[in-house]
Amino acid sequence: MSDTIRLAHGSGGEMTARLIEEVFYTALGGDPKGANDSAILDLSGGRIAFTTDSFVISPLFFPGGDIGKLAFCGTVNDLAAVGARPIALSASFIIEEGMDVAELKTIALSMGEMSRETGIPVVAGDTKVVDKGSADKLFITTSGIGVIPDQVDYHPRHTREGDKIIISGTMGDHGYCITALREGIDIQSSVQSDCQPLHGLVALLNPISAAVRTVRDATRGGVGTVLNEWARQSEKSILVFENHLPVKDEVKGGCALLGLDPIYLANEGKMLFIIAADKADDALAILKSHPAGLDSAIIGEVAGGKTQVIMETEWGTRRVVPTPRGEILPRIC
Amino acid sequence: MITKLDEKKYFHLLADKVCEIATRPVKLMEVCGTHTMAIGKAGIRGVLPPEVELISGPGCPVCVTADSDIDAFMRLAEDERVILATYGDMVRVPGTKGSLAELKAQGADVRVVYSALEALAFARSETAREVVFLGVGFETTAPATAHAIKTASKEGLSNFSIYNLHKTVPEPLRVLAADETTKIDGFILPGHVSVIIGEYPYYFLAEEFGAAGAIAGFEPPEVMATILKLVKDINADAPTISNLYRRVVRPEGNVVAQRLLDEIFVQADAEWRGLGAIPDSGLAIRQRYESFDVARKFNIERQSVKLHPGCRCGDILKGIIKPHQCSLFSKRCTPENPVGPCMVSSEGTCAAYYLYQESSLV
Repeated sequence: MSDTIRLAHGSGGEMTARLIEEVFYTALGGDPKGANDSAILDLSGGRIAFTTDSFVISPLFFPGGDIGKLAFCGTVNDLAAVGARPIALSASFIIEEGMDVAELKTIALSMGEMSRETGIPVVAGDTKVVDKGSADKLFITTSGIGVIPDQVDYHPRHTREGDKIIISGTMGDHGYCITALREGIDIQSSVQSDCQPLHGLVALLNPISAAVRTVRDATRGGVGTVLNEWARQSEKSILVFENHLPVKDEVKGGCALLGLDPIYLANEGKMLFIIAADKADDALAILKSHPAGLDSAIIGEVAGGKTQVIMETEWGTRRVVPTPRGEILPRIC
Repeated sequence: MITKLDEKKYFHLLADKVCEIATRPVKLMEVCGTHTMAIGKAGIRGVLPPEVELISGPGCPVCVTADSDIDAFMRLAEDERVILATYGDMVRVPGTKGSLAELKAQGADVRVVYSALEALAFARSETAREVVFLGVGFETTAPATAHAIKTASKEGLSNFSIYNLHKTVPEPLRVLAADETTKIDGFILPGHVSVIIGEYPYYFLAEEFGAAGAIAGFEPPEVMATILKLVKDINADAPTISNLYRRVVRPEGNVVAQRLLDEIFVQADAEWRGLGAIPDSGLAIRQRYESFDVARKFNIERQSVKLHPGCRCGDILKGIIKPHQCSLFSKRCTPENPVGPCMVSSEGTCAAYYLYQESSLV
C-alpha cells in the first residue's frame, strides 16, 4: 500500500476495500467477509441511549492520546453521562488526500485498543477521502448506542436545593495540554490530556442511582459551562468553592500565564455529578475507589435564589461565574 | 512561612480597616488592565465600603489603540507579501472593516506570538516575505520590541519591521489628573510598568495635582493594602507616591531596559483612543533604526475614521462613566461582537465588567 492517502482510496473500489481491510479491520477487529450494510445488534429490553459526536481536533496526536482514542472516549462518555451501558459504536473517517497512511493506522489502532480494553465493539464504519485542502488531515464522527438500567434516570430537572456537586478529578487538563501544545509554549510540561472512558466510573453509582440527580461530562467550555447549563435547566443557583476545585499546579500556573481560567477549559475524562446531600459522601467514596476518580471532590452545592453560578473565591469574597463568552478555543476536540 | 490562610486573614483585616477609615467618598483609579482583572477575579469590589469607588483607567494597550491605526494595520495584513505577527489580544479588535481574526479566516497570514523574538524567527526562515510585528503595549512590552529591532539590525535582516504602537503610562495620567470632570483622588499604579520605569515618573501626580498614588502588586492582599494606603493618605490630606511592590519594583526601575528603550525609541506624540492625541506619550523608532519602521518602509498613512456613535469607550477610559452606563454595553457590544476596544481585550474595562458582572452580584 502506498504511504499517503490518495483520492482513489475513497473511490469505493479495490483501493478502498484494501484500505478498510488493512487499516480498519486490522485495528478494530471484525471479519470483512461477514460485512453487511448495517450491523445488527441484540438489545435486550430497557431504554436505549443513542448519541453522536464529531472530532476535528488539531493536532491529531497529543500527550495522553490522539483523535482515535478521543473519538472513542467522547461518545462512550456521552452514553455514560445518561447512565447507559455502552453496547456498540460506529466510526466514520473523513480523510484528506495526502494523509500519511501510517498515521491513520496509528489512530485506528489506538481506537481499537480502547475498544478491546472496554469490550465495546466498533461495529459499523465508513471512510471518505476528500481532495487536499477540503479537510485538515482527518475528521472522525462516532456514534454510540447503549442501554439504560431500569432504575437510572439522570436529568437536571431532578435537582433539589442542598444537593452537592462532585467532580471526578482535576479540571482543565485536556484543554491546557492542547493549548500549550498548539501555542508552542516553551515550558516543560508534564500535563497530559485526561482523555479516558468513564462508563465504568458512572456505573459504580448504579446502587445509589436514586440519589444521583444528573451527570454530565465537562468537555468544551469546561466545568463553568456545565454549571451554568445546570443552573438554567434547574432554575436554581449553584455555589462553588474555589478552594475545593481540583486543579493541577502546573495547569493553574500555565493558565495564569496565558490568561485562561481552568474552570472553562475542556476536559475529556471528567464527569460532574449532582448528588442528593445525604448520599454525597457515599458517592464521593465510591468514585474515589475507581482509577478514573481518584481525585474526585465535592466542589459546590445547589442553592435557591437567582439562576446563576456564584463562586466563593479563595479570598472569601463572592463573584459570578458567567457562561463563557467570546473566544472559545477552536478545534479542541 | 506565610500560608494561604494567613494571606486570606490579612486580606480581610485590610478590607475591614478600609471600611473603618473610609468616611467620605474616595475615587481611586486602577491604571492597569491586569489590576482590573485581578480586582474582578478576586471579587474585591464586593468587600469594599460604598465610599470607596474603583474606576478603571487607560492601562489596557488594546483598548487605547486608535481606530485609524487598527484600519492601517488591517490594510497591511491584506498585503500578500506580509506576515503579520501579533499578540493574541489584537486579533479580535474591531476596526471599521472587521478584525484581524476575520482577515485571517479569509486567508491573510496573521500569526499570534508570545514575544517579538518569535516574529523575528519568522523573518529569518521566510526571507521572501515581509514580517511585520505589531508592537503594542506600554513600557512593559516595549523593551522586547526594542530588543527585537536591535537584534534584527545586528543580523542585517531586511524583511522585518514593526507597526509601532508603543505608548508610555505617565503622560495619560497627567491628562487624567488634570481633567476636572473626573477628579480622581488616588491612583493604583501599575506594577509591571513600574518594574521598568521605577517610582520617579509618577511624582508629579502628588506634587502638581495633589493626587495620591501607590505602585501595587497583583495579589489580592497587595491590591487591598494599596487601597488602604491610598485612603489613609487621602484622609490625611497628605498625597504621596508610594511603592508597595518593592519586591520587584526598584525606585529607579530597570536601568538596563530604560537604556535599551532610549537607544531604539524617542518620545513622540501619540493618538489614544478615547483620550485623543497626547504629547510625548508614544515611543517612536529613532531615525537610525527607521528601516524597521513599517510606516516609513511602506509609506503607510493613517486615515481618520468615525467612531461608532454610541460607543463611549473614551468616557469609560477616563472613568467618567461605568460600562453599564453605556447604552451599547452587553446589548450591541459583547465580547463575541465587540463594538469598542474596551470590550475586546481580556483586560478591557468593559470585558472585565461583563465577565465578572460587577453590578449584578447579590
